[in-house]
Amino acid sequence: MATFSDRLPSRHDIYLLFGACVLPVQAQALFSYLNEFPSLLRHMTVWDALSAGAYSFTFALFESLVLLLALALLAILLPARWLKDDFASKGSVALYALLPWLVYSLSTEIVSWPRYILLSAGYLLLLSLLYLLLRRVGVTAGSIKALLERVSLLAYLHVVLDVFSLLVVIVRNL
Amino acid sequence: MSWPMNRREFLKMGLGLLASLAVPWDRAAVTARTHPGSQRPPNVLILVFDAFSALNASLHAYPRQTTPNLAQLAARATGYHRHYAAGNFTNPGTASLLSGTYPWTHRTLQLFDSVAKPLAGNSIFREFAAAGYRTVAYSHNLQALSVLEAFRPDIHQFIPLQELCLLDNHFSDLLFAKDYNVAVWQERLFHGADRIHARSTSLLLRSLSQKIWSAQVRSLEARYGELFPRGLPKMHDQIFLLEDAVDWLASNLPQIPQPFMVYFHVIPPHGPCNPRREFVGLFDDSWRPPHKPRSFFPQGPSDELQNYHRRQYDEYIAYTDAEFGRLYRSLERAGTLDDTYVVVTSDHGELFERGIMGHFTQTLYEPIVRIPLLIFQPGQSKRKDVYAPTSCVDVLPTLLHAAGQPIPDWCEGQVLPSFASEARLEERSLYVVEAKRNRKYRALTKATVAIVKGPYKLVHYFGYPLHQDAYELYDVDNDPEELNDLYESRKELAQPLRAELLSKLEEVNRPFA
Repeated sequence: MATFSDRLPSRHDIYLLFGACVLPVQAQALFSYLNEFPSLLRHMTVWDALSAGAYSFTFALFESLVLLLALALLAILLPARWLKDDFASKGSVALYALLPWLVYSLSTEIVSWPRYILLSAGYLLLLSLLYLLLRRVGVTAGSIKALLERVSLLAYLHVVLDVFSLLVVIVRNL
Repeated sequence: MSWPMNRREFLKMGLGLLASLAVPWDRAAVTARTHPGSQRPPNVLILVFDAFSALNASLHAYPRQTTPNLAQLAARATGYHRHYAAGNFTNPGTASLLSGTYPWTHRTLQLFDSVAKPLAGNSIFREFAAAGYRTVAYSHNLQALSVLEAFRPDIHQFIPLQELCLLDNHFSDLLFAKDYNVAVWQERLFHGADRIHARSTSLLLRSLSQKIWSAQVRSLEARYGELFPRGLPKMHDQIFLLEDAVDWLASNLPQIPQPFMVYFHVIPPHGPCNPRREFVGLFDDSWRPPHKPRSFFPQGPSDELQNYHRRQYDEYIAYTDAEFGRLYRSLERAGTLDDTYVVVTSDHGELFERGIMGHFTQTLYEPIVRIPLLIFQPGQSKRKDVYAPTSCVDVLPTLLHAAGQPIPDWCEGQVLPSFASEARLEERSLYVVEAKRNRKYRALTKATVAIVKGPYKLVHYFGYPLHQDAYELYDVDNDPEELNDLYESRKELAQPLRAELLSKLEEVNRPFA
């Protein structure tokens, strides 16, 4: 019988998928923060305005971890070949395929349930097609993984910024 | 007391009469002198009703009966009929009330702004705490919370916002209390900065929390919908009942160690105006305010729409007034008022005219800067009315004086008439400052500033793209609706006021030059 640790995806895959989770979350945080930065400077010192950003990036780190944990939990619960094997590529495809649906579902007040269900079914279909593609065409999964390897450096630069932001938040609240 | 009186009651009444004759006319002055040493100092309760315009209160001759309780209870209070806020929205108004200084000194100029850090010790809380008072503070309003956070080291009991909310989506005060005024901006960015088109810094979590919050709101509305048909009282992401705040005060105030200085800031009548059922439709009448010319900065709503919202605002005032009446009577029954000064006031007013609605404006017309001020002194049985212009910066020195405490030299206000041994306010100049478009630590170059002196109010708009250097002058005593701008026609009145205002601006800008 497989132990819990056997059910976990490989450490390298987790590392790559975390990078994939960080990118969209961090891009949103950074873009929105920079958009507001000039208005913060109107009533804050530069240090305080930068610290406000530290809170945003700390939250982004937390949000990225939540996404990664959700995917890791699915990998543990689902049959291994569904998600655990090739966790980085399958997980990142699932993440990016699901992201528009999640953003839409969470930010919109659903008035018409039939329309929402239809849209969700469309997304599930897309996800299934991508999944099949990954399974049938081995090179696709490899390409995705290669791409993830390349962007992980950028992603982990953001993570460094997030960790530094977390330290700033802790120091300011001591 | 039964009638006819028995011998014992007759003797008690006679002794009471003799004792009252022995009390000099100006009770406040005597109280201030006799409190130190001879008995416990008086308690102080400051009640701030947010965005309460004095011009919409029947207490100040508004045609609609919006404040029957305040008007009735004013028979035992000192009422100030020309009392000015120091700003036109919560942050500067509250900071001035609590620090006794003008916005150009404490630098609370913008939304979610607070006093400059080096000045955080200059507050009513520090002064009363130093005098041995138990200091307590609460605010429904996040903007006021930003101001209070700066004074937090001097507040012994800081009641969490959540304690008197039915629902609250705010977390900075709980998670980041030590760095609230920066963290609250992150939270504001997280929630999308309160603006429709603003992006949240969060990709998913904010929407998720919003979904949960909406579901909770629906559940509350189902529960309270009958009582509040127009929706529950709320502001930002806080939903509350004024009744809960009143009940909290009524039951907890007598328990607070004495002497206490309690600052209690509640949202009503700040919009959205959602009163209890019995106040909805209370003013569906044919009364219409006079039509006024559009301001420099109109927002666009028609007179009809403004009057519609004014009616709702008036209903909300009536609801607030009823709750205040309930609180007052409850405290009176508990005997709390026997040794407590109760101050009823606001942080700023509200505007429903000249194409402007609410208080997010660069203007300083009377409805937005004239606020109520009633001070109930312990044992006061006779009404006093003061018609000289007064400012919210005067509240701090007045209360310190009443408590027998020295007034700090950094305070820019003066002891109010009827409390001071001599009234020197008639010829004094007061100021109102609106500078939310100015940077906090820069000289005021884009702002609106008013000087109030005697019956006149001169307003100076400067630094705005279309109004680099504009003025308005009103005789507020004879033209309370501000229909006749005298700036061009009465140059002999305008020039000295203009010179004084410019000189003052030069003085306050000097440290930032």
